[in-house]
Amino acid sequence: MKETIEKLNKIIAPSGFEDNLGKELIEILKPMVADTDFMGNITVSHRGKAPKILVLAHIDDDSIVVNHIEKDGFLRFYPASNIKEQQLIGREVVFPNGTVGLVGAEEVTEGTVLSFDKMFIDIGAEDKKTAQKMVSIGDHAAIKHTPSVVGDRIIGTNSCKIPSSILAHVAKEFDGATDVTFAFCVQGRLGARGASAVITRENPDLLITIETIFATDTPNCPNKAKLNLDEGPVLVVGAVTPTDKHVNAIIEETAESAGIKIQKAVKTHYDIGDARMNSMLSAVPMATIAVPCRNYQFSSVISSNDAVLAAKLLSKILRKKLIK
Amino acid sequence: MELLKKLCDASGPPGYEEEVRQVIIEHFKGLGFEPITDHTGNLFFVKEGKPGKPRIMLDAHLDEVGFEVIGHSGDGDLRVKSIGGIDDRVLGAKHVLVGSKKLKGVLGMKAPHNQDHNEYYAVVPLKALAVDIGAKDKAEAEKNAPLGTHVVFDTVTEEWGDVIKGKSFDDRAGCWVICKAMEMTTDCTLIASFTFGEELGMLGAKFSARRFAPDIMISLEGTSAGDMPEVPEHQQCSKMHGGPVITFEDKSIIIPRAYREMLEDTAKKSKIEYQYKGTVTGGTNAGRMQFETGGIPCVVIAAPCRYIHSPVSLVAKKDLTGMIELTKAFITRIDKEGLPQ
Repeated sequence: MKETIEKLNKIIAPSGFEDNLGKELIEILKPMVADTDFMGNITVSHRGKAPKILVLAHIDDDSIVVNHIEKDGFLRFYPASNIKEQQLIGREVVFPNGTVGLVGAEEVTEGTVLSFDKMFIDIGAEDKKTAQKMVSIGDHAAIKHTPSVVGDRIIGTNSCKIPSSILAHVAKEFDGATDVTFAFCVQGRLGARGASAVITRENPDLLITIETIFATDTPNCPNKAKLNLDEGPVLVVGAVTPTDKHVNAIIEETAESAGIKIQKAVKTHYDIGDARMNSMLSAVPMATIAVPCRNYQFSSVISSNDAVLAAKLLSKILRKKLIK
Repeated sequence: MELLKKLCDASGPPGYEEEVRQVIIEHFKGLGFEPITDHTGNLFFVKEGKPGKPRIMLDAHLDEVGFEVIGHSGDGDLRVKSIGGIDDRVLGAKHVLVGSKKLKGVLGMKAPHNQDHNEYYAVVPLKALAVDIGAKDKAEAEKNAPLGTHVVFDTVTEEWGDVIKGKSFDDRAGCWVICKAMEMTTDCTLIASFTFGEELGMLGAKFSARRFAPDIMISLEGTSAGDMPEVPEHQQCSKMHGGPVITFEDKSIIIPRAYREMLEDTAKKSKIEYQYKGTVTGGTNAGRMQFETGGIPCVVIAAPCRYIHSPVSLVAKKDLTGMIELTKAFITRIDKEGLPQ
């Protein structure tokens, strides 16, 4: 798992530009046969007994989109996903073709209110013509990550690489009798766009999503439910994400009998992805398994053990009779 | 331009698009098409092509931003709320048309000498405005404009040389382009989709997509022109007279690169001047249709409109004809080469 996470961290996959990561996933999934649709969603299907289960993970990174190239070669951009101005200043961003840029702003003095329209990316191009050879309007870039491994923990990983790493492990080894489609979905950071297309195509009886969730075991973290690294995968409960109580109960039993320690959490915000996926489904039960991540402005610390256990748990529950 | 004028002068805020539908139905009847409707208020016309050829949907929304009556005051004024996004700063003292009878009205407000210091220096919000239709009391106001009556800006479409002035190019410009494009000959199946309620959150799009499951959707839109003083180049959405606007991304969709490039290449080969939508803002029905029925590739072609979502917008004739040419050229290319793989 550690190796997969490290490998995927090296591949830049901004929303809408996940091709390179998709190719790597297809390689990892071999000899399983993967299908790719026009959006770039990758699916691997195990045909089997009903009910039809769809397991989703997003594969894209948080990103920015270039909307203008200045005559002196600087790039102007918009945030594509939920990124705040101050999270980007001074950070290195990378385009899928390898072009690297540094994010700057027109004027940053004390008391300046940063806004994206005053920010730019310096890719080292001397003029517009040179810049146009490196980057096109509409291209996306994601933040560069160079994780380090310390024991079981991974420091500085892109948290967006965790769900796909877990799903790839399970999809490759799954040999159960259930009908399962594993979907590696694009544009998840833009509100489950790829996932929504897969859902309308696959029309599943049950949906399981693999995600990451903020760990709360950091100094003076506001008093939320304690979610610690190394204490196992997280089962998302509660009304915000409309997970199914019956399915969740089976997941809990499965974890207990397999000796997998799990934590439970209520999601504190209703994100657009959840809303969108729900609007695509007609009353289909849903469950979410997440890995706790200490998230520091897009770079995270995780325990690879939690990811390994999440994969183990997923693999076990897919063999259970989850719905009547 | 006669049809465009009729379309723009018709009243049709979200949910109240009947008048616009009638204009379009009448136009298509003249061309021998039978209207297809659904319970939501979407309107479709289908031109069957040859089997095996791509099924292309041309989509524009029927609605415009407007208001609806939510109450009546003792003085006979109407209280309204906006349906669709309208900036409060463009509202005061504007002429409006109320209901299908098109009663004349004005968005009245407190006189400056009645305003306290804070009010005087603040933007007057819609809730502090009332539509005055000249009714003498509440009973008369209720009789002439009952609850749920729609209200639109009173703007007559006019030609100003190379430019047209009107209230609702977003998205009657798109409706007009579809009306014109449907006259073309092609072996592809063309589905004209006129959807309701886009301004309230793409309400009609999913029903349209699910009903026809097209192979590609071309969204024809009106978009914001940003060629105004003090707007830096990188914050300009588009420029009037700059040709049809091709979207690479907005808040609702990333246009699939292969499809966008095919559209751009078509414009270049057909020598149609075009421009990018320069800002990543707004959204269209494409944002909703892209993930219906397993995923539908969408492109967006728009007319640059100055002062969009206000009582008066301007659009250049050249940009509109460019939109029609580009749409037709793109369909012809799809017919010839098929869709990108």
